[in-house]
Amino acid sequence: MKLNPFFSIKKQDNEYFGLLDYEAYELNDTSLFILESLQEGKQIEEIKLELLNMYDVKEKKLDKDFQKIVNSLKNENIIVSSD
Amino acid sequence: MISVEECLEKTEEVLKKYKFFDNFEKCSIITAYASGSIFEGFGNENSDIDIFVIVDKLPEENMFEDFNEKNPNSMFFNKNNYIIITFRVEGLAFDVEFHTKKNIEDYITNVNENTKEIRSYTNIEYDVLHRIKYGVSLYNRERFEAMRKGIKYNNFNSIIPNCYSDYTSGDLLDVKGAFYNKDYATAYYMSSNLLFQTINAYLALHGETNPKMKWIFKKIERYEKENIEKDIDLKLILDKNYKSIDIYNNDSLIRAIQDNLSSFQKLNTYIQRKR
Repeated sequence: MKLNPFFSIKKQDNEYFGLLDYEAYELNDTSLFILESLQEGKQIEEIKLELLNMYDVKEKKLDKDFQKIVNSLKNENIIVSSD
Repeated sequence: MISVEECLEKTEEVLKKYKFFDNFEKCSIITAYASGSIFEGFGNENSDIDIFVIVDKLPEENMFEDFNEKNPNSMFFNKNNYIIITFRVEGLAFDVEFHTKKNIEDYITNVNENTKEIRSYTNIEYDVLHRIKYGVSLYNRERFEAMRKGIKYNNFNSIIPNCYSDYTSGDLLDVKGAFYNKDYATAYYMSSNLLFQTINAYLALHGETNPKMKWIFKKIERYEKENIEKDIDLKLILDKNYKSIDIYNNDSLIRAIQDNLSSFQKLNTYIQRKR
């Protein structure tokens, strides 16, 4: 997975938004972390592991929440397949 | 390359020889300073010398007559809220700008108090404040230093990044439009331009606020010299941007556009985090 090349992040009044075409998406800390990690070239599994180490959360719960965020970012076309 | 000391010495000699400031006594000169690319460490023997004169009242054209008689190549331009006099003597080109104390105080207040709508900063307003940063006093040093110390340069450094952030998504849409129209040469040009604007905003955030894009490499050099442990390698980004682009080959252009956009995204996210 990688970031859509036409996607950008903007800070406005201390909130972060993702901008794609004419749409703006509010980004929470976790989705921002995922997007920044993808930008750095990290793989999805690697990012998940980092989040697991960062938060005091059960793997199953994190897995579920993580997948939910990734699916939402995919649906919005913010992240796309690497090829 | 001419040194700052040599340039200052020559400037002071010329001003003294032509009694330049005497012509404008009626304007009540508050302070004056030399600035420009040489004083910033970027320029060379062919660069103009910029002099800024802060006055209570802007000069009128008749005050300039005596000086003009001695220097027939000199010119007077009334720009409404400031005046420019240009002349060339002894192989040196001078641009002298007169600004009122009131205007300068307003510019400084706008920056210090963050009161101004970011898009409404004028080029001249920005330029004057940048020039003060690298200026060398020519008249009333104390006033000049007090003026310089009174500017909150941390706020000033954010002007370009904030202004840039307002335009980025539109510029990115332009790249996308050209890309999906298969106009890859245009998309490459646009993505390079966007990347350069982003590098410029990144540099401003780190205090490299010179407004002219022509000095981008000079700014990168100075930034890299002063920030050994830098967060982002700008030269590496530019190396990618310039490397082996074949403008007759779409695959080559597509790869270059993707590289540009990837570098843009990293730099832009950094800027958004820090600004």
